[in-house]
Amino acid sequence: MAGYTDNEQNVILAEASKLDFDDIMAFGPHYFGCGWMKYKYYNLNYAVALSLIGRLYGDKESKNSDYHKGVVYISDALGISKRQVKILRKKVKHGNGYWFKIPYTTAAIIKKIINKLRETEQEEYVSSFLKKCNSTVYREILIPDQFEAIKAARKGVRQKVLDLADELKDITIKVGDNS
Amino acid sequence: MSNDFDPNSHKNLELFRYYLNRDLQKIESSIQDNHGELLGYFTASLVDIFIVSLFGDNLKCTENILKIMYIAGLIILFFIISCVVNKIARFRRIRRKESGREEYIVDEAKQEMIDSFDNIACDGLLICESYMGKYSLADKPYVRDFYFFEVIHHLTKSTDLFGEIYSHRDLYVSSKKAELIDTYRVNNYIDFARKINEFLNKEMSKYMADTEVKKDIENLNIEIAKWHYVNESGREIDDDKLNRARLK
Repeated sequence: MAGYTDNEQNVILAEASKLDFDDIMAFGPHYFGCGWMKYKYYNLNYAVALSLIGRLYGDKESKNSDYHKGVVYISDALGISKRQVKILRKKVKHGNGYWFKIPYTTAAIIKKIINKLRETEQEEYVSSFLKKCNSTVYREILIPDQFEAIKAARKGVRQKVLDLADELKDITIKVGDNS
Repeated sequence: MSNDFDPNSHKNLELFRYYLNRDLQKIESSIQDNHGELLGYFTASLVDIFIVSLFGDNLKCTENILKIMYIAGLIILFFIISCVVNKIARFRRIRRKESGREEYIVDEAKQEMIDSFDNIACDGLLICESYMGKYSLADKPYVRDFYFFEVIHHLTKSTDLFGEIYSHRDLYVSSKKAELIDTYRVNNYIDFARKINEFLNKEMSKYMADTEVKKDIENLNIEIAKWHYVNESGREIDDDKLNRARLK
């Protein structure tokens, strides 16, 4: 995770503990569960990336937050539900712990976010965010723990999960990589 | 080249272990499937018995043709229910494996991962070491390519396993519990994997045209860069700190 201040971390944790109806409704044929752990997890970088996209590409007339504008922008661009875009930002309660609910469209979502960030790498907000991050590889900036969990979920030997893990493995674009 | 076919070489031992393991897994999964089937048959039988006990009296006064239809109906119901129960059992089994929760609640699953570290991840590094030596001695280009690609394959297989252990250190790593992986083994594994990765990066300039090879090495770089040395309780520590302690 990027080097955020304590204050920023507190804001995120407050956000993470908020009840969101979409988190409860993220089940069915579009999702699978993986990465079970005993503790809470919030993917701060992913949320910030969506906010940046919302700020730069979102509906200027909308009164929603940049984060929500970013969610709407990506979901509209891919023709998928907002729930699928949002759910990657945190682990949700399962049993006596927490797990990721991963949409099968994760690779498409990540590719779209990366493309949008790459187009605006020179923008002040984007470049300062990218500099804060621990990795220069976009996949590692956006979904490092989700990717680990998806790789581990290959144990189930289900084709849809194997395909998603392979698709994500191919996303090795780095910040500043223009090829 | 003749030495490459030494029956006790890493590759042959690895192949032996691999086929043995694969066959055992096949047997295990077939036993598990049979478990599911048995559950399906058992449930379907119970439903049939329930129906017979409820409506059996009605048959005493009905025509033979209706009796035959009744029995046929019970047989069809039996197969439908056993099929549905099998599918549900299989679904639950797969989802539990995918969830990552199994290792927290089933001791055998946790032990299986520790055994995989001992027998696959660590062996993988030794195989890589052996192939790196052979790579530099091989004079035929296709033999060198073979060794290079095999190093990528075995290191990837090994790091995939270790990556899971590293990200669940609370579950697998401890210097206090004898059944878990000792922290000095974890640190040594990281050292070893870094050295092999350095070798791949040094030699990869010859394979830059192959995007698949490039991507696989990039993924290895990403994975290995995430790892840091751990202390006695499995917490990440500064790499320099351990190096300094070793030099003392």
